[in-house]
Amino acid sequence: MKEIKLEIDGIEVSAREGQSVLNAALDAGIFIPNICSHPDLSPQGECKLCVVELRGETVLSCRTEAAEGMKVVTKSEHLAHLRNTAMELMLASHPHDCTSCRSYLNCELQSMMQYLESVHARLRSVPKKNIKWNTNNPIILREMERCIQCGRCVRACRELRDVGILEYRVLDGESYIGTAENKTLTEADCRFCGACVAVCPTGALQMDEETTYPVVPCRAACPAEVDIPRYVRLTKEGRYSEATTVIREKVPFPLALGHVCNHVCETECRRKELNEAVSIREIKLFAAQNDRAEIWKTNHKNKPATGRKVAIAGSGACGLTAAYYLSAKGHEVKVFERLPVAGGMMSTGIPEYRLPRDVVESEISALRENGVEIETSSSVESVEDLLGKPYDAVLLAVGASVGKKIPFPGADHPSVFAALDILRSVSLGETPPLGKSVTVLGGGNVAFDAARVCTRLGVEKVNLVCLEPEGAMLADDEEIQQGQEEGITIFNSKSTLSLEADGDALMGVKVIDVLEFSFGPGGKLNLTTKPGSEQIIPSDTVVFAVGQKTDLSEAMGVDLTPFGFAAVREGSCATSREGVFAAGDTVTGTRLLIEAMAAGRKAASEMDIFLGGDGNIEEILTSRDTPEGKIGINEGFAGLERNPVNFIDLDERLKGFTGIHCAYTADQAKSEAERCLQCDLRSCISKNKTWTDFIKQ
Amino acid sequence: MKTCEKDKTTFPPASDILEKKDDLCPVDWALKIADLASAESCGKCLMCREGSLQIRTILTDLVSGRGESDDLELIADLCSVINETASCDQIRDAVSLIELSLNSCREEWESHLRRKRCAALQCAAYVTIAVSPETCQGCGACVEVCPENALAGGEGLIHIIDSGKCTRCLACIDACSFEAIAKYGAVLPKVPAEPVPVGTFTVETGRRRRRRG
Ligand code: SF4
Ligand code: SF4
Ligand code: SF4
Repeated sequence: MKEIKLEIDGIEVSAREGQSVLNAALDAGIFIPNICSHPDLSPQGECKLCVVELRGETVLSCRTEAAEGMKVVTKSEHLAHLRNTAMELMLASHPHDCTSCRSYLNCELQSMMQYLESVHARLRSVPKKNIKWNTNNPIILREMERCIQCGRCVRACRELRDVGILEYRVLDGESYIGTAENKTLTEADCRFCGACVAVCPTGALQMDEETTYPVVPCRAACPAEVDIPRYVRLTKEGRYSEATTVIREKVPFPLALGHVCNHVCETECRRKELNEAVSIREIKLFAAQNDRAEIWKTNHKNKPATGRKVAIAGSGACGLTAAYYLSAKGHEVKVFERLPVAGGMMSTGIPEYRLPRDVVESEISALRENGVEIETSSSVESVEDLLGKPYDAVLLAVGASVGKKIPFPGADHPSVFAALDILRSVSLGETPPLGKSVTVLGGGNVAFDAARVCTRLGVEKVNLVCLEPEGAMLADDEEIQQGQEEGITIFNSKSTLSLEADGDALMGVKVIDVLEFSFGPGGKLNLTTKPGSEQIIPSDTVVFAVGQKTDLSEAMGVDLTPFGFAAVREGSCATSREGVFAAGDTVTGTRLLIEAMAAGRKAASEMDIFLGGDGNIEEILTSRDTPEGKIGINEGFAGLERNPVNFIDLDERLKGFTGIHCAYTADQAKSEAERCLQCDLRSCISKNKTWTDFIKQ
Repeated sequence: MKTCEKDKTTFPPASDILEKKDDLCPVDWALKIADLASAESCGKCLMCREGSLQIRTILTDLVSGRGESDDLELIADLCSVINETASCDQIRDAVSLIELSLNSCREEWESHLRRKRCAALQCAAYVTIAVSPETCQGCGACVEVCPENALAGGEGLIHIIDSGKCTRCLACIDACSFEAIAKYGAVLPKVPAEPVPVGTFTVETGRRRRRRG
């Protein structure tokens, strides 16, 4: 491209062919005031602030092409007068209450006022009438009294998005920015992409609850910060392998997560302001199941061997994630698993009908192929056995694998179990000694796992007793609904008093109605019960699903918290023992699968630094092409309904342990991905530089 | 050059001002141009959109007794900035006409601002409507048409107008078949304080004529 030399304020500046004088000056670090121009948009020449002198004439620098030998003057008394008058005109109809505006201190108009030292003074203030149009929309707040009609939003919607629903309109002799026929944004088929908000220099356009919502809410909510909109988009384009690779850049278990992730991302999805959240997890499962090319395998390369050795106790989600990233950093990693199978909760906690074992096995064997060595049936008793023999660092990721029991009278009966024990023994192919009727105590997902496993084992009557009233239970709605469909009887708002036995045989659970309950400091339960409402729920087996703890003891050789978890330094994974780290449920108690993986990543990074690395475990496994911003109109976009999750029929479900959750079809996945607002597109929009940026330079 | 696809607005011709017609108020004429310019603005250029609105607002003040001492300079300045920087010819045409009026009829503009007078009797705020006591025949036609109930009188009485109530809508002037009602500027006719019988009031004495015999 031809380079052009011109002179701006006596300084020689080079410009690209076709570049405007304004952009040439800005690129050269010479600030010319401007407010209707934006680096990503065509010039409009609306605001007149960018006036300059060229051969004694006043021209708009945004609409003047740089030419060889041009001599441009950007500062003079006359230009200052023109700019000030333009600012005064802009401010004449602008409210004066800057401090109550959401864009206060983050406003280009305000910044320009400071630069030009403008005041609301010489001119009459001219209040506008047409400011009430289209102010009642989801997601996008329009405070049009603050609009200066610079037209950036109009151009952004048309030029960046190819949507083009915003326009200059005139009503009763007064122009304003609106939509055709003054339709609401929803009716006008707005894509709610926020491009208009991103370019608006004033507080006129705002994203709903900007202060509490991050720009890409789903990604910010994901504990592992998976780039959700990117893989959703790739799935929509049919690029499933790349989509899966995007997930793999952050976590090594896309399939397992596709089946059972608790999708905190969906809780935050901006789409729910329109109707329902994007079904992110289902899109993930579909993409991961259809990753034929496995691009990640070609692109993932372990760093050259460092010669450092790491031992990891526990092969759950946290331990294996850490193992994967540590071996990627070139360390030699060995994982010790006390059970005969690797995978922790993924293979011996979460029931098989929710997370098929071949899925977990395939994902773990991929890790093995990448150099992670796993020794099963091998437990770590003390870090002493590992540290220096020959391991340079140790990670404790043994999880919280011991199910708690509450010492109610009768709780020591041999027919009383912890949910985890049942789940584990079934997973290992054993048959736990259950009777004909089981009562599960607890209302979380683990309680439902245990109850639904019992149903599948042929237990005739399965009850579930919990403190919470209907509608406030801790388990996911899906679990509750399916559990009930499968015949589980739920006793809500009940507190257990005792387990009743008749001779050797357990008879049932004595409960009382709960009127109110709350948890005080230290997790102490405060209960109000209804006198005289005692009843016995008959059952010959009782299963506790009331939380888990670790089985760590002092013998391990690190300090523990009073609750028995591994004690770590604030904000770190380091334990009391140099070279020994702990992460995941071992430290925090039971958390989500994705949180365990995020914890594994954090531990890997910290341990890499300890081992002499840079701690950077980020991987780029697919090309980072800029997403297509021109998303165009999609008729009825705001109304697109969420695709329901596919489950197999009830009688099929009850037959055994085959997976009950089926991935979307390709069409479902595409139409679901189509619903995404692509909140990340906003991050591709440049920020207009203001004069303060030039001072910083 | 034009910014939008609309046809260019046609403004009143410069000859209106150059011919210096007696019944044309140059300030009111300028206001009409500003009004039109603002109504026809597509909104895409600050100078046209806000400039015409601003000039319209100042001119409205100027013809209603709310002018401020620097207003003429302010309008001149706005016109020149708009002329220099506007994106399209429509608003340039408009401000050129306004400038023309200001420059060639400066005295009349000054008189609007400082003496609150409109020589052409076009600016309602500077005009008083009065009934000539000598011409009024007491027919009451004006009372019928006044939307503000500003006229007092009765059959055979000289009608009088309450200036406070009058909005200068001019309906009474049209309704009077004797041409007794007219607009007045600085000099007002002497009128009775209350309706008196037709023929009993002389302008010379300002008193009631004694009825003979
Ligand atoms: S809403 Fe914002 S971007 Fe759009 S015209 Fe108004 S100030 Fe400019
Ligand atoms: S499509 Fe995007 S740029 Fe256009 S109005 Fe909607 S949110 Fe704004
Ligand atoms: S709309 Fe898409 S990008 Fe935005 S929060 Fe939801 S899934 Fe994420």
